[in-house]
Amino acid sequence: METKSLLKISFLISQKLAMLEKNRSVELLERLTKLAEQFRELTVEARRIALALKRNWLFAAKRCQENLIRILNDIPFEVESIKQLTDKNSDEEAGNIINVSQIFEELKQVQLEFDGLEFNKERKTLSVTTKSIVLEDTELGPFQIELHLNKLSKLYKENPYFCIAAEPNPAVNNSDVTHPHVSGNTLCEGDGSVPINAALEQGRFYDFFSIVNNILNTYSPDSPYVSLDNWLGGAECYDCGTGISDDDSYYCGFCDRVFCENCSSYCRSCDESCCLGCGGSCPSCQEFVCHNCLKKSVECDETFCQLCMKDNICENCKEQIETEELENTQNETDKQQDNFKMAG
Amino acid sequence: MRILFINNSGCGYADMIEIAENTNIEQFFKIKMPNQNEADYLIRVNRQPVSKDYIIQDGDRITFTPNKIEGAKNNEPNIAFAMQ
Repeated sequence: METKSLLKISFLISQKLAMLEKNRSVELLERLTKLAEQFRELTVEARRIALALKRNWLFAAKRCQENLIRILNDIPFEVESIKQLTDKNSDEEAGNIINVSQIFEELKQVQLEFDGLEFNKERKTLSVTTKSIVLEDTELGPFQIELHLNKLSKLYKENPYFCIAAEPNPAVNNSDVTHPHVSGNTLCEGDGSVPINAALEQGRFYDFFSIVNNILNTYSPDSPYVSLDNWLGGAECYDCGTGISDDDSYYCGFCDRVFCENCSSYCRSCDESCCLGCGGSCPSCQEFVCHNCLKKSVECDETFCQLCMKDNICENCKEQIETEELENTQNETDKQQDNFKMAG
Repeated sequence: MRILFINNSGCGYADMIEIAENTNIEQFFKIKMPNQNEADYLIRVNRQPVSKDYIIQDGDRITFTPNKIEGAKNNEPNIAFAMQ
């Protein structure tokens, strides 16, 4: 690629990175709002517990405590994700704010070390092609690493790059899987996730392409989409890892994975085949139902199957509401009787 | 003297750090990556490969990128990103 073209691309990238800088603040605001919402939920739960204790509804109080635990477990993750963004603001000191000439140098280095750095003007994509990848004697062919410059500014929301097999040799059982760690042209970065994001944020494109290339050249047998042992056929249960024949495999449409007989079930409500992880037992009738058929009761936020709810309210809450209504009616009747006696 | 150090096997963020004068890249690797093998890393100074006796200069940008990085199968919420 000519120097002039590289300079133009560098300028375009610097604009996208400036937008990313702005989007970081937007993302920070969104994460803060989510955290504030979780604190609001805590207050609501605290009020509910107080109310339940006042009325001696110990079962309801216990349910509220379960919600409380869920919220408390989520909060540290939210705090960390906020800290991550705020920490990056101190990167300026480390000289991470990159300028056009630095991006130009990065692209020059990419061009030197990878074959065929290409820029697609219409799609605004920058791509390189790796050497042919062979993992444990399985030929996977070369991959094109395609970076979408328009997506750079949305780094926190969507994946800005794809790994496209140039001479695909996909897994026999799943044509979307062109590499043990690539499905639907998307690389699952694993250990590379953090350095990839950091390299893109800081405009270190040579590092970005190198890291992706190194992941593509590494096989992690513990966590492939399809293991190399099964590349040419055969499948294994996603849950327990047991080898299964086509006849004994059960497909879960909710998580898009295959399971053995022991790790699969079906929803008693919609009859769809469903793995154990994508469903659960209804706390009321104990029947196994898929996530889609579990609905939240509007009163207690607990999930139940549709058969155990009426007007989106579970049986327990309905019972409580009816008890309250009965008590209110009783109180009113008592008041009326008292008034009648006083008048008499 | 101050240099910019990027370790792509960790969180991948750049750090301005102080190092002693006349430190060569081999010594620096041993300080920063104890118990690691240099052969498992792509070691660059200002984007260029250098020999192990290269003396680090003030303002250099040093990058360590592991040759083997394990991918996975799920794009889970990027909490590792957060847990840097």
